[in-house]
Amino acid sequence: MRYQKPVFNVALRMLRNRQDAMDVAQTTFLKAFEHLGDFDPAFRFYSWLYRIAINESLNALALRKPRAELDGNAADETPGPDRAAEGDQALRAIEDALMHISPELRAVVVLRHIAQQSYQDMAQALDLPEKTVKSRLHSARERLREHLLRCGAI
Amino acid sequence: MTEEERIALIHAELDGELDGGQRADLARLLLAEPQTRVLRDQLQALGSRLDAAGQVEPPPQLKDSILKRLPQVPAQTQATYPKASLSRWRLAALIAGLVTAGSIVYETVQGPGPGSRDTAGTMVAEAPVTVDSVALDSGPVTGRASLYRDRAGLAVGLELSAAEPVDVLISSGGHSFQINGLASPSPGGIMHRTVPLPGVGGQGQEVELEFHIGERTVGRASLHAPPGP
Repeated sequence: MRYQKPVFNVALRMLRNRQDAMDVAQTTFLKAFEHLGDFDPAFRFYSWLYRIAINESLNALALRKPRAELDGNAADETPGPDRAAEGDQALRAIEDALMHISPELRAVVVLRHIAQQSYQDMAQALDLPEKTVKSRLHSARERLREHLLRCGAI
Repeated sequence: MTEEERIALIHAELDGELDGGQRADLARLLLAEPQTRVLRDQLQALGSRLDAAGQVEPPPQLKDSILKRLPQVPAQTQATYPKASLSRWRLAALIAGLVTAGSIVYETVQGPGPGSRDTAGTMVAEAPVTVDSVALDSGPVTGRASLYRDRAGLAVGLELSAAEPVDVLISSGGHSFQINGLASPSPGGIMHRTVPLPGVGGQGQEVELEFHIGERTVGRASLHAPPGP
């Protein structure tokens, strides 16, 4: 299960909810298996997996909207034992900031910084030109920086 | 230099994409413009924190929950994410097939007990016939990949040499196995592995091999299984 941790982390940072991230990670592996015959060897296997994970995360976010309207918020807001071990204030600030940008911008940040993908791999995973990926990443970072500044986190 | 160009330089530094000239340009800017230095420091701090945010260990039950649900794999696997939670669990179970199949093969070829060639001998054939073979003579992985057939079916034989551990993805007819961490017994030595392919090749089939070192795909090979018994 060498891909388990990176795929889970991608989903977790997209969704900020461990249970949803676990569901998405499972669905990702399933779909990868289901469609292994369609895998294009021109892709890196990681990029292909991340593509599935990002798409599944976006689907989960789309489903979350109505639920969030009812529940107030579908993300993990209360620190449990896992979250306490997971990080400190800085990490919470980053998590908050990530949830304040659009899922499309978040996907670029997550692929670059969480999955450590190159621009080329990100372009493959998102099916976008590299130039667009770069531009989105710059915009996303700028918005994250502004959010962290407003919160006094940097 | 425009504001946009300044910002692009800072992002390029964050991505490790600056060449020598650009690095010098940025250094000059940082010395001359305190506000650019502040922006750069903030973005660097942001980048470091983001990089650190991707190291959360998945719940231990993630792997187990996939494996546990393997026997429940439904016939229809096209269920989509929006369906009920149970469907997602079932869907997830199917991927466990890949994991478990890979694990079985891995345990077969890597695990304790008889050596893989011994095991392969009992599982594949007493006198296997080579039906296809391809030399790997370029790239970081060299050696030979062969396809054998006997009464038990087909098997892939690998004789590889590589400076680093190699992962091999074997795909055929929609099935796939991955063997991780094949390593030469000594520098320049040859590693031998035999991987049975149950259910492959009766009608004639292509067997695709993909070699990975770390995350890099370092080679591919294709073997053809002619129609057989």
